[in-house]
Amino acid sequence: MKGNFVEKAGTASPSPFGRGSGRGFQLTPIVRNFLSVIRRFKMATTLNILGLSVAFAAFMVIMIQLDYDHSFDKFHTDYDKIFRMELSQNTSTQALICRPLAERFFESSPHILAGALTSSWLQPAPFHIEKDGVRILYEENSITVSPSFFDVFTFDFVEGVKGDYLSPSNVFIPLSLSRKLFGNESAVGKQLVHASWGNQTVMAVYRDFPANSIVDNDIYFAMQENENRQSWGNFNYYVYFRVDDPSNVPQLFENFKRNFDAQAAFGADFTWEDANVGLRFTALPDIHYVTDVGYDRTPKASRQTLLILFAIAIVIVMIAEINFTNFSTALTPMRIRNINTQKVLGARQGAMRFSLVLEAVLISLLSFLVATGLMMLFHRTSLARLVDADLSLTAHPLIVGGTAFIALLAGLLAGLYPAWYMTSFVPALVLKGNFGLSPKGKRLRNTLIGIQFVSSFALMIGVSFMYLQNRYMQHSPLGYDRDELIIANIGRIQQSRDAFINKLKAYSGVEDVTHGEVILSSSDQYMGWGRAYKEKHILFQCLPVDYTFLKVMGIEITEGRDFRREDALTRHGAYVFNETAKKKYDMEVGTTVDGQEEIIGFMPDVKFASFRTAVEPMAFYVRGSENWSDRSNCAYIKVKAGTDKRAAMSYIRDTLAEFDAEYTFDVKFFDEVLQRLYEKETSLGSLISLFSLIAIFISVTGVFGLVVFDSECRRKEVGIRKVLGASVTGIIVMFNKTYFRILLVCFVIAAPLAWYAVHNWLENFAYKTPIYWWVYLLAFVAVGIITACTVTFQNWRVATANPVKALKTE
Amino acid sequence: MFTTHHITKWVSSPAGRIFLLRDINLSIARGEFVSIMGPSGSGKSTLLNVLGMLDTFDEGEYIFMEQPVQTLKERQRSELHKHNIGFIFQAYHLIDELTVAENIEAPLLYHGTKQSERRAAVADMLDRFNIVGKKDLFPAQLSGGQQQLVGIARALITRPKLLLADEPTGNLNSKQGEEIMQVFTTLNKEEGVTVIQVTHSEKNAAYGNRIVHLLDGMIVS
Repeated sequence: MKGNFVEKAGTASPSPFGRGSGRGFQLTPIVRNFLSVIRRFKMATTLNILGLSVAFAAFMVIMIQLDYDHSFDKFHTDYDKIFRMELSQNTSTQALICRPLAERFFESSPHILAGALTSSWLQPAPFHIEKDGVRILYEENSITVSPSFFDVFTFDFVEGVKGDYLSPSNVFIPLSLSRKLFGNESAVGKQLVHASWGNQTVMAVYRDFPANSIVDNDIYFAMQENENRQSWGNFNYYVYFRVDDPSNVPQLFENFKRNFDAQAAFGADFTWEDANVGLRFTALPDIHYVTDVGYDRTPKASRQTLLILFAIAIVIVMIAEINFTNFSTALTPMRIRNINTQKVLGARQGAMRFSLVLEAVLISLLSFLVATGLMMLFHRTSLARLVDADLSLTAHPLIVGGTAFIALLAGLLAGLYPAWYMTSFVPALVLKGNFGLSPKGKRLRNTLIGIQFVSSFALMIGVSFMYLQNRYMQHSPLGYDRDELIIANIGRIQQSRDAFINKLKAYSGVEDVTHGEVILSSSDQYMGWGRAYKEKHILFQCLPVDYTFLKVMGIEITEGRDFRREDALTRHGAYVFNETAKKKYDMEVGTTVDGQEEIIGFMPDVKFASFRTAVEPMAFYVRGSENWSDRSNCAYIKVKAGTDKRAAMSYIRDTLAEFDAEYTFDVKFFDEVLQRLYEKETSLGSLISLFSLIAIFISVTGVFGLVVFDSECRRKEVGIRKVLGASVTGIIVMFNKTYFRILLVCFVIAAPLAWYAVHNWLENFAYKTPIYWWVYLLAFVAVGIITACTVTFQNWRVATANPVKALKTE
Repeated sequence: MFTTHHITKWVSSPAGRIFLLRDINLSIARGEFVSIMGPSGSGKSTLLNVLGMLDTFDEGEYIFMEQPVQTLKERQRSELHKHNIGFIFQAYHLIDELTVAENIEAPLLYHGTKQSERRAAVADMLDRFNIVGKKDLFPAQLSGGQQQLVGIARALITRPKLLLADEPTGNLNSKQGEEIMQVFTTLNKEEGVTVIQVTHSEKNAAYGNRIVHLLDGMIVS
């Protein structure tokens, strides 16, 4: 029936869609029609396919990333029954737990089916294997776990079984590593010779976990049976446990308190309430989103970010869809004559609507195919690194299929209105000519353009503030000299630290060298110390440093004095506190903490942690002779201003190599430390910027397309106006005025929306960039300029054309 | 009013020049009512467009109110045209998106006339052509004769000294056509407006006091 119509129309009149219906042509009529539409409206079709395919590709990328984060750790067997144990004190919570506490806890309830500990960091394990008498060196990440780890998490063993008790000198390795080391041979029984721990036998090979898990694909070492077994002060372990039913978890802590002799463990006068200590249990899938936990090194995502990305994905598809609809309706005046000629020739309205809708659907599906091509391209560029997830199409059948379905819907939606509209006229009326743009259709198109402008403004403003906040965090004064600073981790050559430092100082490019236990501004928080001061319990973050630290870093002393060499020779050491601590705890120079460690001075509130957190009470501390081992392993090397920093860097590396030639030391510019600290914001920022740019780009394409059609349709009007005395400038101004009116209205709508979103986002930071008014102005000017250029460029031709020509075409 | 000397206009084609106008010598005095006649393709409309400064010519001289048009700059020509010439088309060429009143007002916008004066002038015109009741309608809602009246009102609102009409009655029935011709005659007689019309109709041509016959771009009589 439908085919029948088109065929009739096609053979009776070659005009409807122009050429392409040669005799003996065996393509089906619908495809033939479709191809000739593409040929006739080349620009519209190109813009449509371009916009839609970019949108679909962006949509898929975002969805894949969202899926990655959403399904984080959700593929584990019993994932909803696995929890992480955390310790909270006062307002802070930490993920590190001491071993005896964890083990007492496991025993405290029959609901806990299994509990396990893991060491607190991934260790690079240097080892070699022997193959045909040849040593091959490797370095892979390893982690030490208690054997029950495999009872909490379910591993899929390819070789060996979990019952093969993971004991010291035995290891479990992932399948990927087994392949890498031994090819297709069985790995079980093979030896890995660890550089310091000696021979390790592979006991089992497990199938790799997907990347979106806190369980890494590492070499698993067994924890020594008595390692820290009774050390109540050694908070060194991550603790996971599996329960029979998640609904029992809330009672676990109360139950534990009842059954646990806390006084025996923590001292006779300990009570949970006084110490304000508690246990917290975070469900496995939530760990990915929890950010208030100290020492939590698992990869994080913020639900808010995901929401922003999701919103952008929707906006992108919506904008592309709007363009598509707009183009289709904008083409109406050009196509309506042909369509009505078909009608006069006897085509049925229903059949014509069907073919118009089908045309839209085909364009949309074609765009989807192009989008999959774009995805594959994107996969290969460096931009793919912004996305954590694997972008291959085959890995995400649901998302790819779902997008295809959306493409189908988009086609239907974009086709329906114009199809209904174009065929709804009485043919005689239209054939007579004089068909203007209907005011209704115009209003619809203006509204749709308006939505695009609003989203362009909002995205542009949002992205600008994200950039400004990033810049603010990376470039604001920190309270110490950050320029010309190089950081080196020298833990490996600790015994030779002084020799190393003296060697560096001899180099002409080096101004000074100091060292500390941690790197400033590399973390949200540092070691928290609870002490007694003036008979009160105080809490502060402590950063043990060398006595020269403040001088080298340019941190001034506002009261009291700087550290001296003698401070390190006292029994208990000395503090310099920041202003916040001084105010909060009413501190004075000359008093002591815990009755022994002297406060020798105060300094301003330097930004020692990230800008995400407010400055808390904090102290630099020079350890005394009686303190624990010296772990001051981070060298801060200040390079003279104007020195070639690269040369200084290689000198430092060379010097380190003199002390230990085998080890690769971690040496970096301080800027890299800051970059790493704000990596989350930066990569989130680039991801959002990228997709916002795509959205803005698609919007601009839409505006461009509409301006083209608008000026085509108003060719005659321009002719008339010129005859009436309008100048070229006058006409260009007239066109621009129309769009600027829309632009202005949209800005008024978008500005408060953007302000609200930006304001909310900035709440994540303790230190916020101001909300500058000029960002809004800039967004308006930017969108305004783009629009004005498009409008002027497109209408120039129309405005300068000889009006006689425009008026002749009747 | 104006004089032309040897005006010639052509387009180039592979076969050589195709002449649209050839050696047009025409002198029209103020207050004349001239009809241009000739078969299709004889260059009537082209001549009218050239006289109205909507189109250019390749050779010859066109002295309009003592000014040599061919030497004027685009802007000066536009000024000259804007202040002295009104145009009426066979297809009316009203702006579809504007109401009757707005269409009539349009030329004044390009003359920089003040709003109050514009309003008065439009009211005047509506009154004069008896279309006050139609002022808020759109062109599509009017009959052809009414549309042409609007077209004339729009042409006259700037008080032009020369009115150029390209087949003004071509789309109208004979009764409407007669009305339009009456309007032209009145304008010509009572207000001294110079009128040049292109027409196919002998009857309409007779309203004028002089007829110019065109054939193949040349004046034949």
